[in-house]
Amino acid sequence: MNIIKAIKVCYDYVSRDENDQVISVTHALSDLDLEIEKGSFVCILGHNGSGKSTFARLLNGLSIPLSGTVLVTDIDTKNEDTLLTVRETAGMVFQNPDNQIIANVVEEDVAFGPENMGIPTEEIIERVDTALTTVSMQEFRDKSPNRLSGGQKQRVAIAGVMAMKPECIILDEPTAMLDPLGREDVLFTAHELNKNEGITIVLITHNMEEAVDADRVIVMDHGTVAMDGTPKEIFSRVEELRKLSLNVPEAAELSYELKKSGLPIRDGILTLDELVEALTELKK
Amino acid sequence: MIEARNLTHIYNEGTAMESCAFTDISFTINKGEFIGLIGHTGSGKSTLIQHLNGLMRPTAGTVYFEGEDIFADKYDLRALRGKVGMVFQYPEYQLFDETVLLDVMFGPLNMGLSKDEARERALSALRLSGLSEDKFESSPFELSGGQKRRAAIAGVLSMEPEVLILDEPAAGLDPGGRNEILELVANLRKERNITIILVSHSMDDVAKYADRIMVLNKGRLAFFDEPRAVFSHVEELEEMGLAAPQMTYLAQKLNKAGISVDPAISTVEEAKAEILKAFNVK
Repeated sequence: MNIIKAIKVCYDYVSRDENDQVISVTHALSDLDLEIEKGSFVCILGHNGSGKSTFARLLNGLSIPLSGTVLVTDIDTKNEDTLLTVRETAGMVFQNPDNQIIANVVEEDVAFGPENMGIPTEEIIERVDTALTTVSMQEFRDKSPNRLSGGQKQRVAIAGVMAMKPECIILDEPTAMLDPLGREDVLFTAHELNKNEGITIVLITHNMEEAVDADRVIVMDHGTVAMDGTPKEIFSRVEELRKLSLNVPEAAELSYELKKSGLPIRDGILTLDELVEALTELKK
Repeated sequence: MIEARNLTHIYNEGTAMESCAFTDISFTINKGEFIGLIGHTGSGKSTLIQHLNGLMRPTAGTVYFEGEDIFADKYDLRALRGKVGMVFQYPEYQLFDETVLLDVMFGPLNMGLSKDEARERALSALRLSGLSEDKFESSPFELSGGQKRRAAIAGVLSMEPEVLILDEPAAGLDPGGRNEILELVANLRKERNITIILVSHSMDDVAKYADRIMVLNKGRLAFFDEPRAVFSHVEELEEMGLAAPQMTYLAQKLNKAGISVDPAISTVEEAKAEILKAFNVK
């Protein structure tokens, strides 16, 4: 079953001068067709300006397509009456944790979403509890978000989205500003939510290593899908990715370079462990 | 060239909010060096770099630039800020003028140069930044992410700094853009002998570019050494919320599996050479 369906979606950014005359039009998305299966972990890659973030904003109705349709659990995001349902179904986490945290206490921040949805107080308390436990931030519940590290703040932002019990969470470069530990924290949390709660994850990232464990990798270019497949399939296309200003995980890059230098190493290596295994095999 | 001596910075000293950014940090950076500065979020990196061009004053200790105490009474901090240029995180948010060229001219004009001189400086800085000439008269807001980043760096280069401090200059860029910006920085060092201090969360990037790596942990200088030496402390780095580069981990795993390679490799290039050697491939 598909949780998200984009059909022939177009989106433009139009800039106008002070007299409201159009100066330039940028086609951010053009005729994008894309379906995302419920319960899957999907990674979206693409160079700056390829349309990734625009697509993300369409998924919970922050932007509405110029033409074409975006369906979230079969609800059209264009329909204003059901917009709230769309936003409760597809939650968003953005790049900068400081821009998404609003309350002075962690638990109040997490409660903000469900409060706005009109959930009864007792259930809110329960949801906040569960959400904070899932992201391992329970011990900080009465602390000020200001005192948290970047990774911790980002986990609070994820808990805030979780408390709305979405079926799908879209994370737009959630680790770009984090140190290695914070990065690992956020990724681990996203995978746990996917595995244990069955939440569909759409992860937008510039970090190729983060895409290795996804079910599916989508590469965007010029506002449409350029490549679509498993991490193994996508990361074997090294030259194509480089042309799109992307890269491959270092283990894959090294395997590719070794092969080019004449070492008969097998294809489809994405992780260090796979590389070590293949080299050990070769040594025999 | 830059020497920090017993630097300590305490925020809100003497109040209930008192908190220590870093304590008793001493180091020397030589002319033309490429320094990588790493540390977990909140380790004091950003506070530390702001002391190096006098934007912040230490609670104790001081900084010497070319032998002179920059916090001494008569020291010309304004002139120092032209010599020690700072590129902050997401510098594109600081672009403001009508055209890229005017934006880049702002620094030299502010230093008291004439319009013609400022224009010359800006043009040469823009060329150095690698932004294509047809963008010089564009509005900064029409540029792509990577181009804006170049324009912002040109704005600092136009003051012809001897030291360039960059706080996560590649954050938010795609791998291609990231590479371009880091190569630009490496070239500034190579061609202009500009001393570079690069703050980064990417161990792989600092491993690739830096001569020496400075590691801050909880407000103390944990390591300051060549990459091979720093990344041999894998466990300590992990305890600090950091990591070693991917390729250092690979070397560990290979050695454990009986394929012997230099344990201190940190880049794909080094790993490739070592593995080919181990397999006798030429």
